[in-house]
Amino acid sequence: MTGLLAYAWALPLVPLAAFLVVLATGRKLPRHVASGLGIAAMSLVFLASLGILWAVMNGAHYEASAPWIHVKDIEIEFGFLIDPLSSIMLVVVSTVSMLVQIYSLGYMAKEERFRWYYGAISLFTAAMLGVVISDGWLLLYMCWEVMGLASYLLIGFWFETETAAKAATKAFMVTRFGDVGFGLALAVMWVSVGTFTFEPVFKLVEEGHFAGPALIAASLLLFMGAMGKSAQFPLHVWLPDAMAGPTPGSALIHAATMVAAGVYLVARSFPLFEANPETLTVIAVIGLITSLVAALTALAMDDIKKVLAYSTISQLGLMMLALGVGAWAAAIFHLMTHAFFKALLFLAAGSVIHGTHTQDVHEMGSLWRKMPWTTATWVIGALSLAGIPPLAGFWSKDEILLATYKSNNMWLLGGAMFVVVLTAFYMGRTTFLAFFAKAGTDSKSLHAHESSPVMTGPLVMLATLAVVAGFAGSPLGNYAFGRFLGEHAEGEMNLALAGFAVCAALAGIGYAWLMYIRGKGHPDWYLRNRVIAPMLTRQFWIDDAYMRVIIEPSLAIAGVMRRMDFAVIDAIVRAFGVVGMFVSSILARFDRAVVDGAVDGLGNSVIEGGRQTRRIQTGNVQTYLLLLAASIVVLLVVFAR
Amino acid sequence: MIGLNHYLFLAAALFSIGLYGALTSKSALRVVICVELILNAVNLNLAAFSAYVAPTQAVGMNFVIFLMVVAAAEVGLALAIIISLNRRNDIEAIDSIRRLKG
Repeated sequence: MTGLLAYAWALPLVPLAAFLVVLATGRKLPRHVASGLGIAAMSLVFLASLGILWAVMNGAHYEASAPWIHVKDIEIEFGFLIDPLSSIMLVVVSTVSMLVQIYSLGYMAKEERFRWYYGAISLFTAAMLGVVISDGWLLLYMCWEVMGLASYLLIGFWFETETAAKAATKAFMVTRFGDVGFGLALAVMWVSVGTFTFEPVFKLVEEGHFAGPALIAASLLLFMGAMGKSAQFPLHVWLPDAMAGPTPGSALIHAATMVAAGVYLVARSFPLFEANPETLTVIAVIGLITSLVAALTALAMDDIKKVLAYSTISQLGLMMLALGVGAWAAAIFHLMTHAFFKALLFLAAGSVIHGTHTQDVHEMGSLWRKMPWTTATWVIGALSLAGIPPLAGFWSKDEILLATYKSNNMWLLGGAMFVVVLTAFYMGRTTFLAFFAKAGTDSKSLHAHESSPVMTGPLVMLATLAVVAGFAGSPLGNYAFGRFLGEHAEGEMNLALAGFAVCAALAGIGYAWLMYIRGKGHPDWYLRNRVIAPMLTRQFWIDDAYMRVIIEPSLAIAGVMRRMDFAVIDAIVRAFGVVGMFVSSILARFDRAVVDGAVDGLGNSVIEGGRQTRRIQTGNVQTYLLLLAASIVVLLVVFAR
Repeated sequence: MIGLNHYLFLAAALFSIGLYGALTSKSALRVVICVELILNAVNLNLAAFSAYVAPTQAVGMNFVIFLMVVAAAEVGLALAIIISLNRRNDIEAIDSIRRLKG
């Protein structure tokens, strides 16, 4: 098994090859070959990842690098690193990607650009695997950008519609803004330590050679990149719009894996952040704000995918909070369980959309009668997300709460608890409205049908994972997950804290049940409140703020520039033209009068001279003779003196 | 006593008469005669210089004999041209012939 590790560098190349084949052949490739290639590549990677995980669990560790750029005394290496963290990420990414691709066979079956969809998914997976196995920030950054491209391609998959095209551009621009920070972090790192490889940099940090403002700047800039990719406040605005893409693609990229890359980046670079507690505080605060804002916004969403999108942002915020309080293993644990249950929720939502042709929860209802498998798996995912034991989400969320509790910051813990309540409530609301509330007479769920086994199969598998994946990090699994990552365990489970969190979650679900099933109080009463409603429906005016603060001023400046262009630059150019015309007209006159005149005059004078002198040639011999004699006389007079 | 100058004056007079005649005559025949006068003026000059300047060497005399031969040939040629002109155009007035014009 250890021998397998030496070939881990080939993992990203397998899906990349699938992508290149799709890219090169286009329509010539039969549809089932395109999907088959993608799924086969992913299955291969999945099996290899399991093998690698097994080997790493038995103590294997592999690191290899080769020279990449060598210019004079600049030497940059690229290489890959297989350690517990990357082996876990490999398994998570390949599992979700494989199941999503199988599911897409059913969901995307009628799509025109079916092959291209598989190509883009393969490209994304290749990039994500590259991010996970690279042993330095530079290669990671490269794969990170390719991932951004794949995300752009999938969000804009239905580029004929304006919303998809705009959402793709928005996602690209906003994440690019974060990536500028990442790029600057690389620059700072290069200037201060001259290498991009993890190990030497960590060593320098540990020995105190890389410290002070440079380290703070580098780590905060790295975090800025993570904020863009992981949709942290205030750069989270792209993620809800990204739901314009195909649902399985959203499940993979904008819920389970890619958005977790920011969390992975911070966890991977953790020694950099750990050196300065201030940067950790920044991360924790931003994570909590993100989590709260997104959870509150999710309350007002009627679009089933939008609810999940905001819930994703909220959970990513929780992971950042965990990182901020120093529990990076807990963050990765939650990343893993979240990848499984959020992919499950998205795929189940996709199944619902496939069956009802609507995304509005108010147009659904009683779906449990029509779609039993989808309902069952959705409920498992929702309970897992809400943090109900013994599902995976409970264990990982508990680790985060425990770490927050241990940070002795009651504000952070209180905020996180509030997020738990909100999460349980909005998941309860969506679940009850879509699956259990009585369907109206015009409800779209009357004609709903259960999806095919190719779609429910992956749902069941993910549901299984959403149930069992948490045990690895639980007291029942002897905290194996945390130990595997080599992180100091968060300690024994705090039963009081866990009990309180479960009660909070149950309270949220119970309130939703009262409101939407028993009809106590007005459903969605908060959307009628004059103070709260605009706050939630306008998503805390963040998009509006961007509009006011960035986009409108940019447009205004552009307008002013345009006018200035017309008034000043064009005028200058035109003035140059007019002056040029004037000068050249004078020059033309001079040309005609003087230069042409001189040339013409020379010619004319020769012609005239010839005309005059030919008169002498009379043809009369006597005249010639006379002239001859006269000339001799003249010559004699002149020269004979 | 007759000296070199007398000969030169006579030759100059002959030359002038010949030139005047050649320029003013309308008859081609008279022009030819006048040209002969000019040639003979030259001959007289050559003979006089020969006799007075280098009496021991008869260089000038030799030139005179050559010139006489050349003049005879020239007269032959000129008479032939005049005859052919007369045959073609029935004209004799030399100033009416302008064929030499380019």
